[in-house]
Amino acid sequence: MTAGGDEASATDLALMALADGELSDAEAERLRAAMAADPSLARRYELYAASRRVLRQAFAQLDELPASPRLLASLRREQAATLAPRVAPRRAVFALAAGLLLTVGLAAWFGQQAQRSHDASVGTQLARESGAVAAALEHLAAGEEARIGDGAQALSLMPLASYDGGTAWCREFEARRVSGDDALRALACRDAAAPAWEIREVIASTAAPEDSGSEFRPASGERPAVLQGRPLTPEQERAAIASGWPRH
Amino acid sequence: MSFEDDLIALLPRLRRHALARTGHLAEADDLVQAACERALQARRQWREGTRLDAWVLTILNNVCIDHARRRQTRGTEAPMEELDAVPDTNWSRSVEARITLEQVLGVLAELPDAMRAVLSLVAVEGLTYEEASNILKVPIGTVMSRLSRARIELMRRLGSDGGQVMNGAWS
Repeated sequence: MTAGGDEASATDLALMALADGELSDAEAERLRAAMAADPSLARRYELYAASRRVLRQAFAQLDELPASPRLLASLRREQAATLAPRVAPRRAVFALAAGLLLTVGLAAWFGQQAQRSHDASVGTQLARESGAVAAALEHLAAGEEARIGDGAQALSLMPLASYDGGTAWCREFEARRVSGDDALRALACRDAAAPAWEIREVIASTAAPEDSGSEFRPASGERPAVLQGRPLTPEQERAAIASGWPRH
Repeated sequence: MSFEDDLIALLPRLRRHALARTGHLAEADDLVQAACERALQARRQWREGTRLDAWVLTILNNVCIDHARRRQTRGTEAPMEELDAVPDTNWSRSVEARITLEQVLGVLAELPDAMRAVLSLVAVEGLTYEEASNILKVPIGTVMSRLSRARIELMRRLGSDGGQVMNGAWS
């Protein structure tokens, strides 16, 4: 067998099946006897067994990361509303070029959104409540929820994860209409030069393609680079919140 | 336990699988969320007494395939037939213990998605060949040949990263 694409031999597949616990006792015993007599078989077996160990060991490292609070929250919400009929999604009028937002502060950005659209989109609603939004981003841990606004327009805002962006602190958050399916996910950052939360990018929203229903659609382009890194652990995040997101 | 509780208990496994497929955690979480939404919408199709994990992994596999199709033009992975031969490399338990998730994800990203899928289901999640065959809707023989190929590729590439020589197991 070579990496070039030859079919694996029956012996190779049997060795792999042994490493994966797929053989009967009798088959396994016969193969182990053959391996004892032929070191090349033993080496090939070891490669299959080692690959299994490597993968498990590597993916076990994932367990050290915090679970996605967004997922937990959406499942809990589902649980609470099992019998409530799903509200048909209102199509938020809320498309924007992510690049435009880079230097715009939170209040300014939200203000523009409010002027641009007069509908009841999540973005517009956030704009009207920019103070409450900033406070939530400043103080809530990932997975905690704040109610923004009230009545039919009320939103639930939840930070999802926090990142150390080197020169800035960044938080991914989700804002979701309490009484509907409209939602928006965005990245807000706060850097030393301007210690206020500002929106850097809208990552996904329920606005857009005609048939998208209430499923999240990513905004165009790559995910922001900061989100490719590891999120802060809950301890690191707690420390950052407690000390007011200190200067780097 | 409610259906949602059962789903929540599956999240770590779903997340591992989606991460193996996409290589990026935030993207993996999006795919898991999409799979959970589909599972909740289709919950009546799940028959009590059958395995929920296999059912949800089937949904997640479909979500991963759709996602890969949508971003196909950006893919850098090699097609199944055109993987480069990588020199044999040495392997030892001490090398093995130092391998990080990032390294593994880096190598997985170079493999075809079909290989990532079998590696994750069988080698990481510990499903049987038959279970993987049902989830991926390919014959068991295909699962086994892909899996064998994928593991050899994985180990060669990880080994060559470490600059070691793998004892010529396949020479």
